Amino acid sequence: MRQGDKLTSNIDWPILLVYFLILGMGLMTVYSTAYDAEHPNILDFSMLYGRQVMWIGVSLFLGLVVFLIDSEIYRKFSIPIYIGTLMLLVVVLFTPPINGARAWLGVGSFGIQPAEFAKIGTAILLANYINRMNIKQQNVKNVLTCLAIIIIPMGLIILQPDAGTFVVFTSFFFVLYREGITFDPIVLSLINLIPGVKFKQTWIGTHFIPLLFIIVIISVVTLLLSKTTFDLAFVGLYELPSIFGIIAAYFIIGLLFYVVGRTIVGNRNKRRLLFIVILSFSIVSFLSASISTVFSHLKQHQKNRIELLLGLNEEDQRDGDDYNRNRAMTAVGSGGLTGKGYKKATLASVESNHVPESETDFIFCPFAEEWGFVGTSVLMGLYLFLLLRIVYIAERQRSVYNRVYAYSVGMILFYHFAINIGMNIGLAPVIGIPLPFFSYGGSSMMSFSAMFFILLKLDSQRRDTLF
Amino acid sequence: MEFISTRKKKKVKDNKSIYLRAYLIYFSFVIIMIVVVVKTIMLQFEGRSEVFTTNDGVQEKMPTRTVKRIPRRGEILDANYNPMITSVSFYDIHMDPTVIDQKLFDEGINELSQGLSEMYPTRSASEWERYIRSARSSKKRYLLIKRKATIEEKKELANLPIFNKGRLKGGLIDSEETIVRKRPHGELLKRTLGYYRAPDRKAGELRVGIEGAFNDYLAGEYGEEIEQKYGNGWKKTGQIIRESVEGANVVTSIDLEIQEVAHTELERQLRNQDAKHGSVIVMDVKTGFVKAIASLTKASDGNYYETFNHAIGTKEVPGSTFKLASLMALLEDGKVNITDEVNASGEYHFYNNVMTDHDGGYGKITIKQAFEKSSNVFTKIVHNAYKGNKESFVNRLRSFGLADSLGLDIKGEVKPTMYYPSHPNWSGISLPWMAVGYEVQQTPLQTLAFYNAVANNGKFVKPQFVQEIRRGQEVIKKFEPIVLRERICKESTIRTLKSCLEGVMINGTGRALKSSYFSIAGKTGTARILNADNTYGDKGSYKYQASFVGYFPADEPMYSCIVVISEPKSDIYGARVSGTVFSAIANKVYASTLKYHEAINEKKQRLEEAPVSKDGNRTDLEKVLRTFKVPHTIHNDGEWLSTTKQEKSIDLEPRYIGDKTVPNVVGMSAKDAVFLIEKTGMRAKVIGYGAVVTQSIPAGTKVSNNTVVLTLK
Repeated sequence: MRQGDKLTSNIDWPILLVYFLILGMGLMTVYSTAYDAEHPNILDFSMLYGRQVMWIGVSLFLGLVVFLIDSEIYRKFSIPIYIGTLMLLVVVLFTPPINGARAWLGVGSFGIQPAEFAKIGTAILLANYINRMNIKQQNVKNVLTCLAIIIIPMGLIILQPDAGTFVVFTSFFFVLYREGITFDPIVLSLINLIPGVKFKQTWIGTHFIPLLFIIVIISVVTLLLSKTTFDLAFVGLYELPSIFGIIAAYFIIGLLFYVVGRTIVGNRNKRRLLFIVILSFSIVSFLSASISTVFSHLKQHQKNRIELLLGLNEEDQRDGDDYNRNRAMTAVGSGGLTGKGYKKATLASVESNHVPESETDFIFCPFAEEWGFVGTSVLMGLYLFLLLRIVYIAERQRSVYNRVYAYSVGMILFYHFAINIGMNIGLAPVIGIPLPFFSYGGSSMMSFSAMFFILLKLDSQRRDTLF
Repeated sequence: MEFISTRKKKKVKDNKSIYLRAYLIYFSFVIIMIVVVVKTIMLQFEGRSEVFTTNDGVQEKMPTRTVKRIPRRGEILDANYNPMITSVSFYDIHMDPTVIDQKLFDEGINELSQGLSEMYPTRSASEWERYIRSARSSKKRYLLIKRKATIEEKKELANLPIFNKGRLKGGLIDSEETIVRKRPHGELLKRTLGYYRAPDRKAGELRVGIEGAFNDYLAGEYGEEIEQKYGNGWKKTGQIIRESVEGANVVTSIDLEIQEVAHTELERQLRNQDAKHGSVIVMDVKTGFVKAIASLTKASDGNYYETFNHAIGTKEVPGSTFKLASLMALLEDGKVNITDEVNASGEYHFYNNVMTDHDGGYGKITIKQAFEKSSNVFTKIVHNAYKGNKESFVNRLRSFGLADSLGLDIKGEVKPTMYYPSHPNWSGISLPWMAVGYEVQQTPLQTLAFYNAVANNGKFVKPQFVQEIRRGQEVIKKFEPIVLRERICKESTIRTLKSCLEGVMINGTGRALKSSYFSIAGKTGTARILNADNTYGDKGSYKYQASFVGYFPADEPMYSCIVVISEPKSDIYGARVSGTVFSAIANKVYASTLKYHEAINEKKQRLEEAPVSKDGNRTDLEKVLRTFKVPHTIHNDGEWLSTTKQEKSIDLEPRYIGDKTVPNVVGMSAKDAVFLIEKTGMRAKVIGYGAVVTQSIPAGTKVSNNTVVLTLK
């Protein structure tokens, strides 16, 4: 195929189609959720859906502009773009707080959230830097620079404070991991300070990032679930502490891992795989059990603080602790197989106010309530396709720059998706982050779209890149 | 794809390692996605799962349950539809300060805090503001504003700035209502109004007073609705299987005004006497509807409370008030004539017992006089009359209904005690003692019902507390007077007894209570009552019960009333202890009951003659004349009018008022006259009051600097 004849050649049409499908479903849900019989026009700009239409229009225009620009520009101007977004993050700290956070820049209801755009700036600069550095010869300086690119905006964001976006930024660590940039140089330089020790590589340093994340995820999941109990009715056990359930879940995952792994690894490594699975199962179970035990022995005020951090223990005691999650879970659960039908959501509608923020962070609730299992399966299928397609796109890039950027986009979207849906179904702590392309909101719509179209543009020009 | 292979070349190994990482990320992607999808599916199927297995292996519907929708309980009203017990709704008010738009918040927060501090001054305006601001910044979504707000407060709150933007924009959250039973009149009638307690695990159902007796009407009907389980609680789904039916209102016969008088008068006397307890009942003679009923008992704190319904639940020896029954029996059986003379010696001996008169005997007197003076010579009269056939005396008393319960709607009535001669408790002195109200026991209401029958010309009606049951404007049940005994004795007997009861007030023990405005008929009673150990105790520590029962006005009885005071400390006699309460109540009832008084203007023509009117301002005059419906005719319009009194109406004609000349103010009030004079620039001086009769400077004179002296008359 000849390259770059037309603007539209080499566009990855399937992913673009999925993008529009998600956009449409999102708008439909916002319309249903915020529907007001007095203002039924979807283009009524006084209503949320009217504004959402406007934001989508702006985003598409932005996407078109982004697409028209040569992808080289993004690489060349990655430093100014990055610094620009950083400056916005600094400026926003001097605005008056809205709902307790200095996250909004702009006039009235038409503000933007610089944190959303900082993701793009960081992704571009990180891609540029990794592209230029020699992975094979990592040193402390390289690694620290990479870290700095990520951590500076993170620091500014937590000052706002915006915990959700802060967490999303940790997705960049996985990008580093994928590119083979490890903490090993730092760990080595520290360990080798000890006289007589001379390591060339440490396992901990290499896999520091996934290890850290596994621990964090396990801790959070354990803490989230440790307040509940569960029953194993078929063997006559009731009200078991949830830690047994968690360990049982690990066991099933481990088994799954082993069964799938067996087909992948060669014969010789099967034993080793079994060993690895059993070892990780033991470690993970032990970790969960000890977190659960330690937590149950904490003093009440310490517990409260942790629970508050995880969004577990809220001031709102209407339905007992854990108001948001309970309500969201009920709404999702009430959908059943086929849902209650479009605009028929009762629990998650704005009027009932049963689920808070049902047009932004908890928009999955009305959707699940209205369309049930069938609808959520379709939506999740679309997201899954989108994410896997991005990974696929990432892997087919010839340039490191493109690949890093693609991975960044993929990881960010994955984070948003997993945490947001997790929040809605009670698996993740409630740290308000939107569902990409779906939730109501101008900044997230614009930044995700810009990010997406940059990826599309890079991908369409992937053949231009010379080795 | 293989895992790590150490034997391959370094470069390949590096690539492998990179691939491994890519796959690891891929893999965790998929795992987390699977977890998310599985959890979503689980939730959605849990939420809908129709059937689950309980511990007993029984299959049941899982996540829903049916709960009662509790209806609003009906009100209990007095005869004039004033509420005596009502259901008040309360709301817990919260706010979600995070939903409020920043601009709206900044503009409204000051006024809102101001408004809140006016309504609830426990926080000052600035404290309210701080309270809300801090909740907003810490993202509290459920901030308490007021617990147990009334519906009025709720409405008022909804009108405050910010809150008036509603729930979604203003953040005002009001909870479901909680319904609380309220007695607006506190202790008044508390025991008779009673309460209802539904049966629960600890105790059975409890029905006290009207609340209990009419619970079936008041309660309404429960509805049913469905709740769904989620998380760790139940949530209403909004699916209503059956709507609840509000409870009906019970309209009692109680007249709140009379009740209030009865209560306060009784309480005052109980305090005066430091008595143990007391009761008052006022009853409508014709219908038996109870207009007021109060029973107060001294509590350990020295105050008197409605803790027990003595009026229906405490039976005691009636004492002298029972002499009416004895006399009725004697007259019915033709044993005596009211004019027969008896020797009231003051001491009446029976075997080893003696009954005395309280002031030493009256000598030879008629039976009527004996009744009026409440002489215990009745022991002898009855003894002599019935000693041959004691049973016939008891039977005669029973034929008056004196041994039967009244069958009240409300619980707690005790049956009177009256033995037959065959009863083991019957002794040689039982007959004479019974004649003067010992050896029988009656509740105050039972005694009153008997007296009421006399007032009602022998028709014994059942005392009732409730007139009708209403649902809104519709009367769903009306309680008609119930006649227990059509005629308890001959008409001639009634006439005699009535004259005796009136005589008590004129010549006898009730003389001090005579009212100059209307006549009372009644009987005093002072009974020595038993201690808990069934003895009278030592002389000096005797306990008494002072009562007064009767009806008024004597010639055309409207109300019957009994006052019973138990264990008065400073005085014991019925007339002085209970009689004063009786007459105080009677006086107040009489004075405040319009039906006793012929209206001053009744049957007269509204206006026989037109009133004299001052001249004056047109609007003022018209307003007054219209308000008092004075016929009038305005002949020609003008701002100032003069009035001419015609035979039946007032003619109004315009009066010329110039500003260059002195106006004619004769016939006007001082206010109008001075206004008009001073309007011209001259000064006015007023002498006397009424309407202007002369003015020192005649009308039409040119305006000058002089003072116009107005003489009013």
